[in-house]
Amino acid sequence: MEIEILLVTPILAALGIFLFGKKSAIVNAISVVAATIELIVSISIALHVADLKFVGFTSFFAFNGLGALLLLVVALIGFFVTVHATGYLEAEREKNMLGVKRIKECFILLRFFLLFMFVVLCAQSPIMTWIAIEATTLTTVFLVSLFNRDADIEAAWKYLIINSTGLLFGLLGMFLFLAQGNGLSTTWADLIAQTSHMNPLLTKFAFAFVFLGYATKMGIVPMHTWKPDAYNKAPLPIVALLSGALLNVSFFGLLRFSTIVDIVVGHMFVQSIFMFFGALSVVLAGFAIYTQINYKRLLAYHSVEHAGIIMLGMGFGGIGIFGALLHMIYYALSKALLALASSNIALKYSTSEIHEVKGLVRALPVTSILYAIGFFVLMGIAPSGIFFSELYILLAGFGSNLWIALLMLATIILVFVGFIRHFFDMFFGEVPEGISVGERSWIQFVPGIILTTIILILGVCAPSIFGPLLTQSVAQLKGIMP
Amino acid sequence: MFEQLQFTYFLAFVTFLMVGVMNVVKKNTTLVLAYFFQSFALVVLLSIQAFQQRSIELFVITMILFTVKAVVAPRMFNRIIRKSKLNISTSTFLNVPMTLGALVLLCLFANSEVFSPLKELLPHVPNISAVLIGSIFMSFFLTFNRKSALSQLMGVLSLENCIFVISRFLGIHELLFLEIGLLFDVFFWIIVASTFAHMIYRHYGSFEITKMQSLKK
Repeated sequence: MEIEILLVTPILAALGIFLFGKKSAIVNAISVVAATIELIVSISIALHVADLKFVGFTSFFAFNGLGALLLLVVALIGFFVTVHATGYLEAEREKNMLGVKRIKECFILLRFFLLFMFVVLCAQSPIMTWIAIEATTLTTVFLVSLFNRDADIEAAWKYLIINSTGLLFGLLGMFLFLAQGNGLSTTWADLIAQTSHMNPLLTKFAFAFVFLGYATKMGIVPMHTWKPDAYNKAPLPIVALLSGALLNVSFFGLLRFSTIVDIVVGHMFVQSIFMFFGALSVVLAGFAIYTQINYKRLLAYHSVEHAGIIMLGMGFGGIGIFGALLHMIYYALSKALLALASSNIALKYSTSEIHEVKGLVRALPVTSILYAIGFFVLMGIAPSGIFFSELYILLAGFGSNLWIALLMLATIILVFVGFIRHFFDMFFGEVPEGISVGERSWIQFVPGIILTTIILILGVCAPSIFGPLLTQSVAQLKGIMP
Repeated sequence: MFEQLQFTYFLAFVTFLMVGVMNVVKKNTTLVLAYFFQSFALVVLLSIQAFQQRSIELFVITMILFTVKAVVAPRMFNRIIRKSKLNISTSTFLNVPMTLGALVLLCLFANSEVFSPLKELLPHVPNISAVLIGSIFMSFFLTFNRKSALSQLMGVLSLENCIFVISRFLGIHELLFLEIGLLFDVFFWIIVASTFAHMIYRHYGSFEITKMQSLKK
């Protein structure tokens, strides 16, 4: 029953907003209630999957360990983003950037965006997974252009064309996988059952196309070009979802195929691809972060860097897989925190240029603390969760490919130096003229405080809290468990 | 049987030829017409399969595909062109001889040994893989060579047509609701992309992507 509730709730909420959302208070209330239900149901699903109980609906929707783990992360971010967005969009309305109709559209699209991510995580059919991933593009493209300015339209168009083209190549790859079976495969399990008939060379070919598609969605270099512009123009609460949730969900889609390829041609092929593109993403993003002058684009390149780190973890194998899974959780939550805190900064300063943001500590005392915590957690300062996940990945790297591991370490240091530079620029100095001092409303920092608490607790306890789900996920990725 | 095979070859060739036409035409209306013919070739291909297999499901899919790709999409694009009075398409990044040269190179690459594994998937229709892969590359090239947002949109849709044609040759059959889901996705993509093309015209007074410089500012 949980999956039905999970999938129906966003639809009913969107319908409710569409029919009764004449006032923003009603829109906000419906959205928050829906997000709460989704979070509670997700916890319930995760608990059941952890107990090895089957959580499914027909043969087309079912959660495995990794799916349930990511569902929990997506629903958690979805909840905080929804609550935070109520205050954020209201503030934008007061600045005459948006009307009630636009806010209504935003919350409807947000619910559909979450719905399609849920579908990706539980879809048992490769085609359904692809449809849901493509649908996330169609819902978010209007969110990227929410403010309807020239640059927003340009960024959204770029996002739409690049992602759609990439995903079409992903569709081609998927067809090449399906064609190697009997052409009638409808589920992932069918596809795995047919691996003995698959041609290794063709499978590599098919995976190359699939990789192109899903890596575009993840923003892996060199398919990342849509990311800085989309992040720069989209409302920041949406960036929290794009970066924290969608990145993981897209990678989940890619990992579904990689397990099949591992069976057909062995681990080395996928691992080599992951290592190459992971390293490329980490290095390029590292330099871009160091020279960045725009804090929204900084978030984008940071997302590229961490997508690369996660990919490197999977590529290194061994304990790196465990590290990559932990990194997916920690990164998603801390990035959401940083994006939500950034949205308060954007509201206060009405700019995304780093040099125009000064005296953050005085202008936004609570937000600045949240931003700093998000900052340092993302940097992997001990004893944050990311410190441990990056440590696991590096340890795996030293055993697997020393040079790439050293490159990753050097880039992490470069990013740290670059980040610290920006940190001092933004936090200290005089508050610019015309900028009022103080937080706007409690709704803009309370979700951040709760999220920070969760991040700090998970930083120490995640492996024990998520233990069974992590164990199942690692087993699934190593092909030991279905 | 031989005639049927010849005819399916012909349809694949129409798909290929239409991408070539899309790459070199100057008028936006001709671009839409070429897309219509390409989509129609796909519909005919699907109809033949539906008839051969006596499959009602395939027939339903054919009807939806025809409605979405051969009726709704071309009408929608023609309306955008009429409204914006921009019948003459914008230029390309490469001039016509260079474009033709690039297309030839892409076709040679599609026919190279690199893609020979794909021939194994299509043993009953040898050499068709080169035509189909060539169409895909040319569609991709169309998306990024022309300076018009409308052409980019047509490039993506042409790429989609080519991939659908390949899936038919590969014999992919999915459950009816999944195929319909896929087509609904296409339908919504067309609506969303057309809306954005219209918005681009409203904001920039042109479909030319080179005029979209707000992000650089």
